[in-house]
Amino acid sequence: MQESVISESIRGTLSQSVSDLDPRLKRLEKVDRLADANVAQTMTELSPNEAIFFAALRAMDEEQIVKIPGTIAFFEELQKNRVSLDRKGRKEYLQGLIGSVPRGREDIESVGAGASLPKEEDKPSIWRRLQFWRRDD
Amino acid sequence: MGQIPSDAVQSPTSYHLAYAIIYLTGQAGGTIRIRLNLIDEILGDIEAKAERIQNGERKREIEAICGQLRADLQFLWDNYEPILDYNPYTSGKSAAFEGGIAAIRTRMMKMIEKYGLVSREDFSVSMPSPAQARMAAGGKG
Repeated sequence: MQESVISESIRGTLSQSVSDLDPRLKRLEKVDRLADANVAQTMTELSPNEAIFFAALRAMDEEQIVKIPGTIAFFEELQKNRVSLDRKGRKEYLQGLIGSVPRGREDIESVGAGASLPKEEDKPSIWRRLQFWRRDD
Repeated sequence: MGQIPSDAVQSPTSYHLAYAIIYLTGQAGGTIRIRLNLIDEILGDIEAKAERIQNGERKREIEAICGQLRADLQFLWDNYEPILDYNPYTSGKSAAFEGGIAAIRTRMMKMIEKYGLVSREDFSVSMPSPAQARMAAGGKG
């Protein structure tokens, strides 16, 4: 029986998977953290006053100064429903998923779903209209 | 021109084998996938050549070596990941692959040399030496 020409040390290194090191995969993992299972915390949008108010009520409930489970449940539900307010969290998520957007002024959400949102046409200014000799590229 | 060894195993696959070896040399530093395929080609040619060998002992020797090399090559294929060919962060495993490929190639070349599986003429067709090029041009070589 012939001996293997591949040493044990090489075999050990080769047996390890490196596909997890793919930078694209790493980036998607980071993006996933923006919208993980706990959506109520990662994508909700509370105003500064709301955040302080809710924190104070939760502290009073946990310390049993005033037991208000119904109010806490209401706030938790409200947090979930606030996810889409202004869609800031979703824009962050989409920007991470899509990457940088060319020219920077386009709506990120329309880049992710081009067919779903009609792209606004640029309206030419009066000065541009007067420049009738210029060719449009 | 060099003399073909008396115990050489010349066959129609000799030229293909010589060409694959030269092409593998040209792929130095190339993708692991291409080089694994080329090693696969070379090993397949050697296995085919073993079929023509009349001497039972030599045939068994070559088949035994080829069997182990085939298992080693399969091990490399089993652990190959496409990311190795385009991601610099996988250099540790890529280096291990280089070691594995070099070991298999060296063993195959030793076998080719020992058993005379490729003649100098086979190599000359694909890779003329400078002396042959001068002779073809009408010089003295």
